[in-house]
Amino acid sequence: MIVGIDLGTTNSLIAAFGKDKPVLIQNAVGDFLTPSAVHNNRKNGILVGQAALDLLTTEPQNTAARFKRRMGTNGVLQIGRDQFLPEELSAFVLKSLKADAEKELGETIEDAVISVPAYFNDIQRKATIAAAQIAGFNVRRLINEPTAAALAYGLHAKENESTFLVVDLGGGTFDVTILEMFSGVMEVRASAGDAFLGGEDFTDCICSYFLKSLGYEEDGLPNADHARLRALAEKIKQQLSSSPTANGVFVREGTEYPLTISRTLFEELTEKLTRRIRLPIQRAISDAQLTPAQIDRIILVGGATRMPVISNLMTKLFKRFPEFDLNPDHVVALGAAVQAGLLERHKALEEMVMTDVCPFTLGHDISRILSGPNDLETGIFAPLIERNTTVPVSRSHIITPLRPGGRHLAIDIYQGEAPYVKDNIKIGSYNVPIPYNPKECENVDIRFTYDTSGVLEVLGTVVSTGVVSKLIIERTPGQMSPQEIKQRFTALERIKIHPRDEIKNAALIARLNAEYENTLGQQRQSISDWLVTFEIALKTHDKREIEAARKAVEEHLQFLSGSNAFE
Amino acid sequence: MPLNDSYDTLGLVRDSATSKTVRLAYAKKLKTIRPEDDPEGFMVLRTAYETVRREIQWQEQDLARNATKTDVDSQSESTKSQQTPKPDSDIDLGRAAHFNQELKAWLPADALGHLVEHIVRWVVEENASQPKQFFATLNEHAAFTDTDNTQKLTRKLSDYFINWVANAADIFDDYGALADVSNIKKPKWLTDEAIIAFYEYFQWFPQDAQESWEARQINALAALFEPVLLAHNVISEPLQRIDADELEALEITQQNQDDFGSYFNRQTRKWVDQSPVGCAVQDAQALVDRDSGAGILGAWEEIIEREALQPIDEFQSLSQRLLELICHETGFGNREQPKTPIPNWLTGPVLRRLDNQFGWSSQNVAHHWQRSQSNWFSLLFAPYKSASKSVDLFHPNIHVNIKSYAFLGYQPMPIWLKATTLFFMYIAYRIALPIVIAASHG
Repeated sequence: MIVGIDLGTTNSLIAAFGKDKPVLIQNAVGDFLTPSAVHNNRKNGILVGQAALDLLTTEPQNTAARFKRRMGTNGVLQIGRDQFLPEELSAFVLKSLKADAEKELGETIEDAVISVPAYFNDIQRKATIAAAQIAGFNVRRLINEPTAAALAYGLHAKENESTFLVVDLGGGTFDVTILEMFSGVMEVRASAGDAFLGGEDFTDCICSYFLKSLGYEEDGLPNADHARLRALAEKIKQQLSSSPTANGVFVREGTEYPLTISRTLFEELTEKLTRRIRLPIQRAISDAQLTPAQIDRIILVGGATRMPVISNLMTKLFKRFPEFDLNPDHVVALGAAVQAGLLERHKALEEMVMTDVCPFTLGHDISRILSGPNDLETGIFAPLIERNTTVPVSRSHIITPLRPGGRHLAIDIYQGEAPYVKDNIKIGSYNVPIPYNPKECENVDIRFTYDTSGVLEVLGTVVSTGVVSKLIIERTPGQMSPQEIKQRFTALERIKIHPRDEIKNAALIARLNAEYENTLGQQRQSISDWLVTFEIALKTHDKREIEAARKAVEEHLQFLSGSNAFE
Repeated sequence: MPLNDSYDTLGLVRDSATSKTVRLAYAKKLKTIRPEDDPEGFMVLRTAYETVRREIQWQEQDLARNATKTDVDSQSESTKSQQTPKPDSDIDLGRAAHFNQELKAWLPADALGHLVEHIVRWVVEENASQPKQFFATLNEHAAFTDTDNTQKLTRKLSDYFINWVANAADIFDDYGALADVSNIKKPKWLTDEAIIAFYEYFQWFPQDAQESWEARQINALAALFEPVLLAHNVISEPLQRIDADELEALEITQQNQDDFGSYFNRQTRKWVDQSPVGCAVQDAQALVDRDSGAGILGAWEEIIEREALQPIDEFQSLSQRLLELICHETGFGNREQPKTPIPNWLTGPVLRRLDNQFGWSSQNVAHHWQRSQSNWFSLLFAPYKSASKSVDLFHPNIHVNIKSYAFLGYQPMPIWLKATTLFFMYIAYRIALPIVIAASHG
């Protein structure tokens, strides 16, 4: 069975295609959403999920979160005594999801379809595949998140033919995709986005504002306090989605600081962020050669689109209301499961075919002669495969060396949109051997072929001789080699993971600890009492007693915080 | 790929394809030629689909555009396929008629054509001699005896003939009929006698015109005939002119009208664009003309942040037009590179703000013309751009602000545990220890 996984910046989910529709899989604590957070406790092992997220506020030096943003960079992260790559942290999350799926479905799971932001570049995608392989998955396909959302809505849709605009604002990434659905064909027309814009940035805005109003500098607070302030900012941001003002209390060193923010002030603070949302939308529409009137449905995906700021912006841009029927947090995972079902050639999906596009322009560097033969402009980007062309695609053109008499024609291959190569991402270099000809310049025909799995093949043909040489760019430098991946896979197997049965208890204790930090006086005392009660119950090792104690404590917590902030 | 091959690949017949059928054909073929299983076949299919889709799109756009033209034109389109023009249809010169090279006249393909030819031959070969007698005999011509509606026929004849006279007298220049006809060389058959005869028989003046070009033509002829008729006392007052400018303004306004009341101003002979985008572009032009740097950032911001310009349509249109304006005003098309220093109305902060808003320097567009404009803007912007965050995989330059992530628990290694420190300690140990031992022994 192939599963579909949404590996998000804030939350991750796993789903599978059931009898005739995709179904989400619960994790050890009974939620569909597993926060992408990892806690490293030498004694008990690695803890993933809500527990780790709570421990982020109490033991920030041993916990990591939001590492999706660092996928594809070389940054090693230190948690406690150990160092981890972001790929390994993602692998921990994936492993925990794998265990959840195996428990629910009752069979070993090996194949998966994993979602990535449409605007992830080549390096980031390879890092995601590496993370999955370290976790023991065989990645059948990477699916773009907005495409997954559209797949989920597509099954859900009543009409047979429509053009969608999917706006996906997740925790850390922003994607826009335009899709067309007709007669069971799901065709991506254009894709755009910003890989460094997400709900977390909006939370950061609130956090900075609070810091300023409390009178601290940007890093004036010690780590633990800053973590708690940020968690409070997150809660307030979510409250603002349902009410025009939100209040919270920040506890530090025995004093309570009340903090408040209104929706209008929030919109003002985040103006720069909302401005960054508009450009990719406009670009996607113009790339698809459509007008806003030709778009039938506008779909909002991703938890951050719950903010009224975003839905207002959409209404302003398109002069009509967007739709968000399905739960924006679940949609991507459900879509990934649909893709998994398509790969399995599931009976219910036999009629559907999907085509995708490459979101970045691929090309190489050239120089241009200006006025005289020695007046050159170098470093110009010559695109060969334009962005938003349907893949698989193959394009070629002829290039000439600057001067005759050379033996090689050297080009560097880039991915990006800027007119000069220094602003684009280099993904490889290529030397075409050309015959020695002192009199004329030997032309070379360069052909780029880009396939559905994202492998770029470069073919260079010397026009006069017809000799062909090939370069396959499968692995970008800086990416993990298969041996490395295997190595880390075995290393991971050896790392102790918190036993699944005890995750619920660990989560509750973490939650209690977090709440303890956040309260004062009488409430603090009560929490402390519950903590002690629960730990006593744990010591009895009697399942039923532990269950009863847990339920009682959870009820108390519900009553205390009003509503569950992380729902 | 040749167009016909594309149609064959999709399995369509060329003239009967609509955008819907094209889609269905593509979808059907796609079920068997899947991209994962047969990449080459898929590429061929996809190219065919895109070619055909584009062509059908243009065709449909053309049809839609023609449907909004005025009645005359659309009717003339419909008469294209007919053999003879319907008697009730308005004059459509050139559609149902053929052009006779010898006489240089448009002759409709029926009895009316014979009539026109008859008259034209009389004018050209006999120099319009004895016009009164000629017109008297005209009423016995076959065309008049055959038809029921002589009035209509006369009217149509008059329309054809006036066009021929206008062409033959050469009262046109590149833009249409001349306003001032005093300098033209009158053809030799256009004698005073002929003019008077034409005037009396055809009753061309006064007349109404439906379109501005007709109006101008009539005005030009009136100017031509007037002096002769006044001199011979055929008429006592000057001939009435038709207000061609008014008609023209009305036509252009109707064709390009939008919801904001944009119109064609006949005095300045310019289109007055009152849509939000048009106003914004005009205000931007005013900033350029003002050419001062004072408060320029605020002025630009005021323009681009207007509420009415936020929706996607307006935003896109504004982006294109502002880029064009800026390129034009900084010498795009006339020079290789922008002239330094940059003009007053385009300071560094202004460039940054515009780039932030529209993304001109970082978004390559497929369209060739817009791409060269974007490149031009990048050249302008380059000195003012903040350092580019490029990613070179061979020399990664990832700047992570350690402090901002510190609260997440990312702490740097303690200094005594760092590899370099340990290395130097080891070297020191290996060097120092023998020295110490030697010293203690010695």
